[in-house]
Amino acid sequence: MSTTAQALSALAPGEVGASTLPPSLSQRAVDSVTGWLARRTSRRGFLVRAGMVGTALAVDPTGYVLRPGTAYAAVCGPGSGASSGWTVFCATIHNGVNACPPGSIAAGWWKADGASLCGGKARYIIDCNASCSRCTTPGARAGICSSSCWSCSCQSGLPGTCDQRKVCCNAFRYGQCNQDVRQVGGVHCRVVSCTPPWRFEECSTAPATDNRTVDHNSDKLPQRYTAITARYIALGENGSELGASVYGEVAVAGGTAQRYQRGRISSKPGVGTWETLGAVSSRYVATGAEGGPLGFPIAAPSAAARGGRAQRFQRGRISWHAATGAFEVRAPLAAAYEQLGAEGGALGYPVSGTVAVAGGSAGSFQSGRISWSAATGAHATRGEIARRYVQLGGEAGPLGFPVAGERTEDDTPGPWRRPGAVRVRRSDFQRGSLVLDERTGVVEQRPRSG
Amino acid sequence: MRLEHAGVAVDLPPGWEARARTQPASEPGARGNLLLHAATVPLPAERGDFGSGVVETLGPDDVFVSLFEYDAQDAAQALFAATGLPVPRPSDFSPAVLQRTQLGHSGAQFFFAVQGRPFCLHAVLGSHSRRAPGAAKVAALLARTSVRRTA
Repeated sequence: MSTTAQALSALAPGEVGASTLPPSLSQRAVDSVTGWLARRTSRRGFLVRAGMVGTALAVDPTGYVLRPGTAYAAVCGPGSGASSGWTVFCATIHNGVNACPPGSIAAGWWKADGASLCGGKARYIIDCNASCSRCTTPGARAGICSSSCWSCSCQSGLPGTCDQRKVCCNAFRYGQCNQDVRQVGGVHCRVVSCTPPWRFEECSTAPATDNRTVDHNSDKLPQRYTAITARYIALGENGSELGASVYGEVAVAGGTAQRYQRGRISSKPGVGTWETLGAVSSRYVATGAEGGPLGFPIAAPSAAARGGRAQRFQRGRISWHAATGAFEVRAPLAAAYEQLGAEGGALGYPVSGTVAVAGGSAGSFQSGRISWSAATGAHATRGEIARRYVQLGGEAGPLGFPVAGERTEDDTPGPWRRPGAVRVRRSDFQRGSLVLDERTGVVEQRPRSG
Repeated sequence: MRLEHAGVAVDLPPGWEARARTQPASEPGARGNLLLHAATVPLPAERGDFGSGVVETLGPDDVFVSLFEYDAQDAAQALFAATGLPVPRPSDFSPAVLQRTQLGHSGAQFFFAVQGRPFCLHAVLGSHSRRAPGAAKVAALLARTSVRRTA
């Protein structure tokens, strides 16, 4: 036997090879098809022609030949039928969540290079294998227990999705993840990521590659590489505070948004692409998110006073602290709040959202209130004065809206402080003033000065 | 004909083709791992590490074998507790033990360590109903395979 030059002509870079095969008709057939398609496709950047094209033909010959420019753009990608033998994406069967479902663990991964869904970089596919919840198989060397032990059972062809791949059927283990678990069940489903899995799962770095799967996808996963994708990758994807994606991007209020397990990323041209996290994100969604009064976020979340968190939006702000929860301060109250130092200022954290009041809007804070009307603008009342103001009916009461911020003064008019004069804090309203004697803590309602 | 790369050597029986390479490391400074493919069909240049691109071309009597090495430190993990190259038997093969199940095919998978090096051996047969001769072919190949400890 001798090495055949024909068979070894397709060595990949860095490979060594040997062959005791006779010259093969099948190899010539693949070479022939490869050459034919090479003259008719522009996707050379994605495919190493030899073999890969033959593989594409083997997997989805009709779709590939008839739609060479769009085969990879199909929503669920090639091999999306149950008969293809591939495993379903977790998002398809797990309410859109791109994470291992309960009862399964990451058991291994591979990558597909040059993924358009990852901006041309590698895309990682992580197998979530079932657990051996019912039993283990003594002596098994496969790292897989008997199917009778698995925590899930083989299914295929889910209704209502183009991802009809198999669920919990393939008894295969890639082997880089959770290696301390000697036996797992079959592959329950697959997670995708542009971030290497060893950065967010218990996985080793041993690289496995299968470029044929580069465009496998689900209609329950993000569909394109976008500004939101780029931001999510920069934050660490599944390993970030956001957690796994939940379904794909949606169009919202002139922009786009993507849900995650613990937050959201919102994007709008000219505004930016920013995440909202945790309780702030929940409050943002409760107010209507991008289509609500706050509009889109205009900055990343930031740390706020005394261990809190805050985030600015086009038309307002949301502040969170463990002691108060998360509440929005909408424009134009937000400007007044920020002038007073926001969370670290005299008012502290909001304890309510911004609410409509007769003739305007208002919000309550740990140490005061901000009230706004078109006629008066937004002004804060603080401490005891704010408490009395609310007792008197607030904006709808006899005083109406505040017309200025609080000021400190002598309680006698005139250019000079006279000996013995009382130092007071005063807030003026549309129809009167509230004056706090700092010595006694007593608040008096008076006619408006000046 | 002998193929030797990165401490793994195989004397190919008649009717086989084999390729071996050192995988590029995932992280800078890490050592690359060995990947060896052998099949009774021609191996295309572009193929998945566990055989996609090859297994689709297997006839009923054909066989594909992937010897995939993991990071050296993985050898201490429970998954690689078995030692020595496996000797596949027909009963080890199942139509479900495949990265991607395909009608008629059959697969087997083994995790083990040899000379302190952690591996997975994945073998695919073109026909589950002819697994007895297929398993014998895989076993014959492995009988001619040796692994050395590497630095």
